[in-house]
Amino acid sequence: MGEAHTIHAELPDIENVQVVPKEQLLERVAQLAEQGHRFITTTCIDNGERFEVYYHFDRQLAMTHLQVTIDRDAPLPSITPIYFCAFVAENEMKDLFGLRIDGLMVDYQGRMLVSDELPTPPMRKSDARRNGDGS
Amino acid sequence: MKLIDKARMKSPWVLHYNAGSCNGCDIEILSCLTPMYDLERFGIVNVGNPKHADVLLVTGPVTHRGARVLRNLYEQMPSPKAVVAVGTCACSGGVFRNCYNCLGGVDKVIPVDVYIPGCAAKPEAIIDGVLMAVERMSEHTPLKRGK
Amino acid sequence: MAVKTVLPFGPQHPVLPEPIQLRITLEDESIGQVLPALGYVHRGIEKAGEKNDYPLNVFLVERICGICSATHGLAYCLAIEKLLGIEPPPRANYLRVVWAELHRLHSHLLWLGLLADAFGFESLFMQIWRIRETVMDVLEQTAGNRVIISVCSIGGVRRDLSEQQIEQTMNALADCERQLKAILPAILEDYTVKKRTVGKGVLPTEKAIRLGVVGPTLRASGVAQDLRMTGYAAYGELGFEPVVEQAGDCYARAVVRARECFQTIDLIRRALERLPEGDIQTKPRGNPNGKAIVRVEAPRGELMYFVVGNGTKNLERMRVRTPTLANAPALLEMLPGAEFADVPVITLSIDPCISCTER
Repeated sequence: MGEAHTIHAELPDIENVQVVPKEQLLERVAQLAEQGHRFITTTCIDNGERFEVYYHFDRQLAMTHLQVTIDRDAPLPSITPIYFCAFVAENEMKDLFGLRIDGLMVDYQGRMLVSDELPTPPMRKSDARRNGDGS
Repeated sequence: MKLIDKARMKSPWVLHYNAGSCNGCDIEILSCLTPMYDLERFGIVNVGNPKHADVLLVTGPVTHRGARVLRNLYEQMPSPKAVVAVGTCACSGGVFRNCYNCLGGVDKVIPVDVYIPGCAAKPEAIIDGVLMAVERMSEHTPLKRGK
Repeated sequence: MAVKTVLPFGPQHPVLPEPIQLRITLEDESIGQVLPALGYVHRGIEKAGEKNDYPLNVFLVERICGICSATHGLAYCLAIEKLLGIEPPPRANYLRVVWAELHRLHSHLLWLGLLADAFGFESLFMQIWRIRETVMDVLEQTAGNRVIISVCSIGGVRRDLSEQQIEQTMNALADCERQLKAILPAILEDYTVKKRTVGKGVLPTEKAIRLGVVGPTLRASGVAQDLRMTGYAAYGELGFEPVVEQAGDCYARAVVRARECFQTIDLIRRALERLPEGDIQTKPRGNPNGKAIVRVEAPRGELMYFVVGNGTKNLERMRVRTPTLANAPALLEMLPGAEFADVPVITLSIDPCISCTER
């Protein structure tokens, strides 16, 4: 983006990330919606043990990110009652990672993108990788 | 019967289906129909109904869900029919060969008559490929084309 | 008595170049509810991006979508450059703008043609695509391929422009601009075109933001937001003002894209005139590590790449948020209440790109 990139000793990272506990997610998203933020998308990262879920927002070209870390089997509340447009991104996470999402307003039951030929969520890292054997 | 064969060769109707392509080949197929390349000078008409079509143009590496539609379309087309795989993905899977949702080529699902490589396949190549498919389709009455 | 009918629109349909299915609930001729069925073009590119070496991914991401492939390549390269901490040379930045804008020009013309086709104005479709071929010729002349031009590489661009090529490009642009000036009034002032587009699929500003729409669809609803304002590549030095319309209907979206065609031609001209001398490539070193987000303006709107590196030649995660993914939910708001005959026009007005959406 516009800002000049300086070479840090530490790793490059994204700015303006707010770590939010799962319970406060909806509350925080509602606040952002009230302030006129535009929902961009969600990103799920499987770090082998847990899911890191990012929610990206934009307001006048400045980004805000919310980060929630949850167990791989734990359910996450859906933000579709606040931002309806999030249903595509949330269904995608459900499809590709097998993330459990409660209260989706449009639910494709994990079959939005992938079809029955692929029984397991394709982006989920295998358990072998979790034990350090490489995927 | 002879008259119908002749008519088919002079005006083959094509049906286009995108089975998971990146759009590149699809817009080149559309380009073929526009004034610069003008497929219609060969009597080729793009139709939307599989039961009207003689030649099926398929792009893309064929995804699982796309395969079902593709098979369905192919079965609805009346014989004789020809299938043209447009683009490297449709021929072999291309860059998507190892992707989990791709079968890797049109010939994994339905028989293919003509393969057109290229990423994206050039309009000149597509025109040539369609004419080749027509020729193949009616081999018992060979179409005279240049040399 | 109104009878409810569920009508599948697609996946193979003459007005849709790409497979998507809209399950439309109809009450007589008016639309009640719409639900898109996706997955016909899902290939699994995000996963493939983790398996490939990071320089190879450039070729993969360009094939997410053929129409905006230059922008995909650019965004991915910018993200990896951020992780590696390298800057491309100034000449490369300008050349990136030239090719990205050429791609936008051909994409917008393609869309204007398809719109004409959607409401049955066949000759206009043919005329616009004929003009588009001048842009395609420039792409072939400068990059060697018509659609997927593959010019960006990590740390710069793969090809340089000679004096002769610059001159040819300038001539082609002048030709294109002249023809567009002759034909665009025919589109935008035409009675039948207005009849089919004015007041159709209206999206007010407030709703547009809440539904998260991007690009020309957002700008047609009166929001001056264009990622080129952030000045990535050489946009900061070229000066840029977004094109905005207030009405928020299909007509406004057509006007935004038509005006952007001229703006794009101006941008390419300015970039070619000020093209600095020098190298076109900085050598990438090391492996990407850390996290980076890059947003660029693709022809259809905001394109976001979120790249996570782990210090090896493979990426940990490559997340791609494409513009149509953001614009598609708006269809569910715009279609209900409209008449069935307007479905093609309203669907096309967001410039849907399904291969982008599903990756």
